[in-house]
Amino acid sequence: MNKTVTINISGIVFHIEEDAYQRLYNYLESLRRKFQNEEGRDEILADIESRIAEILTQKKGPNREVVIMKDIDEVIEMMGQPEDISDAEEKETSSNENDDRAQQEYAQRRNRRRLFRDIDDKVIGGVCSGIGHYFDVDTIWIRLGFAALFFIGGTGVLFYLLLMIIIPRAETTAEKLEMRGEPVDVNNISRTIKEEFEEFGNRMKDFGKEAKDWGKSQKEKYKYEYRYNRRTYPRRGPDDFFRGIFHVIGRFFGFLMVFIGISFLIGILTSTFSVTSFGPDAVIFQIRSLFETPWSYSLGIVAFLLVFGIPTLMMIYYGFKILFRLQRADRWVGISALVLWIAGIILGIISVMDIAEGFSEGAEHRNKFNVVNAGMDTVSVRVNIDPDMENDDYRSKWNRRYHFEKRWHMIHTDETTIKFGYAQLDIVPATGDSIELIVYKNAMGRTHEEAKRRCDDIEYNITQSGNEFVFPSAFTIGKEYAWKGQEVDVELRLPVGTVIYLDPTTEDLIYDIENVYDVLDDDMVDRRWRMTKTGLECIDCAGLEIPKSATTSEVKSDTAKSDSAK
Amino acid sequence: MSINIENTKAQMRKGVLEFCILSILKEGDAYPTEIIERMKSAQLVVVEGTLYPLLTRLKNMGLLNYRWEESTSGPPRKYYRLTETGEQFLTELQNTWDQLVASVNEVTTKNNTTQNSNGHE
Repeated sequence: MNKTVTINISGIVFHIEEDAYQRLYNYLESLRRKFQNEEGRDEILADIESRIAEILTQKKGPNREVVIMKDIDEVIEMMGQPEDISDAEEKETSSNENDDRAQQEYAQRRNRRRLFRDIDDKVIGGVCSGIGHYFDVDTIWIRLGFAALFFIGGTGVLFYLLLMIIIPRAETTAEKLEMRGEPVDVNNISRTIKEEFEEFGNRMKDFGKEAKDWGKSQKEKYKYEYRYNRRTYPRRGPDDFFRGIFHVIGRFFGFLMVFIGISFLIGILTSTFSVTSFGPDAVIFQIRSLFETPWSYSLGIVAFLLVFGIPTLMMIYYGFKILFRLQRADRWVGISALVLWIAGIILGIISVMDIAEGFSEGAEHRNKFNVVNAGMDTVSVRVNIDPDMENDDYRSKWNRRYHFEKRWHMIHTDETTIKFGYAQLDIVPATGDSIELIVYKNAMGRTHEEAKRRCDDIEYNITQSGNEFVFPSAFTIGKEYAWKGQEVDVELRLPVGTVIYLDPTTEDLIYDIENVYDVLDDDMVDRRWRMTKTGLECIDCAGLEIPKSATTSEVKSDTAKSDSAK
Repeated sequence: MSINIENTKAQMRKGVLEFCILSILKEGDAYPTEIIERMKSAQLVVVEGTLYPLLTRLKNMGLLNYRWEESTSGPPRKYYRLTETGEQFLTELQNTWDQLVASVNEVTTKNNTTQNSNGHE
């Protein structure tokens, strides 16, 4: 059993066995090279083809439909090998060397390279070896490149599969030859355009000349189109010229699409799967902590990958098709991509709605700390920093809390994820004569009960020793809980005249405390303050740079008030 | 040396072939296959491919022109015909050829005898 190809020689259709086709094709190419310097090259070839068509028609009987190798061999014997044909061009001998080079170039020009998978030299699908042939690079480098890509979030795997789908296998002899054809570079792309220009000009000249003799049907003679490689013997016309330009522009865009697509793909995959100690993982932890169960988290990840990954993959896919002029029947690719993408959108909506629903009800838990000796006139506040959090790794994360959600953080260790938040302390004037300390715990949930349960599970235990209040560095919310707006706010109410010392450790605890100078929280620690009706007033602020515009007016109004009080 | 001989042979054959093609066409219009049959039987050409560049060149020189004729057994055929210039050209070639043959015969016969006598010495 042999595969046949349908060809059209001088307007007559032949079914020809593939190997015979290849031989005929090569033969005609060699003739074309032989006559390359001849003025009427195209005409000579057309005549020869016409004769070949005649011979083949005679060989084709009622019992035999297909042209076989033997027929072609006989045709070649009759017509003669290029070297047997006495060529009479005088310059042939005089400038042999130039001609040889020109011939070589011509041979290359005729034999365009196409991208195929090399199934004879394959590890998985022959993608790497095919690319190697196309770019004239040793296959091993391509394979190493893919192996390296594999470690970037597994991009290599996806990319490889994609290429396996896009790139056709080199199955026939013709395709295998094309796979190793002329290298593709800028030079010969520009040459293609030039060539197409020239050929077009020649055609128009010939056409004008011969139109007189033969009229319209002359055009038919140039319809020498092989089914497998239309571009090799094409009928050239103005459309070919534009096609040439579009090919160059198209290839550029194809390259851009592939390049951008791969960058995106790497970005998407690394941000999803990599667990590095820097960069987006903090954000990812924050996002992960929004999901209540690992299952819903996976769902969200899948949605993310589909919604952003599918268009990226399609961009690479079509970029490749344009870049390598691959022709594939690929409606199914587009359709399944669309289906997956819509599925991703739906999953994403479900995920977001699920998260949002978790925030639908809020609850607050108010707890009054039992202050011993509430009438004392001096207090100090200190944060008991957890020794576990003293190491450098932790410190960097501690500081990073400002980058995302000021009052929320989590630490990821090998075994578990510790989620915790930072409480905020506000110091306000008390209405009565006694010191009050009130702890507010907030949380949200699907139901009010759920929100309340979350509040109750927030652990934040303040202690008092003498006149010093000791705050924990963070509150914990229980391992199994997601972040649902858990917050701890502490309000310290001091009677007017009470003096308070803020330990340096409270720098991250205090939040926007009212003070008469409007200084920032950072400048308030390690100093003693006295409570007035309008807020804290500094009593050992030597060296504190007070913002002038704010200070003068505040101080004035304060002295005015105390004057009026007198 | 050998290249020069090949070249000379080719030059000779080319001139002769053109002369023969024109002579054949003088007898009547013909399409390439007919011309080839004639020349093959006279053992002037071995392969058909030789003919097509010659015909095209003669046509481009204005010695021939052609018309298309439909064929029952294949693509349309080009029937070549001598133009007036072609006929004049042929007459000139014929004269030259006759002269040439005469001269060449004379020269080569003498040459051969000298060579032979040389060889015997």
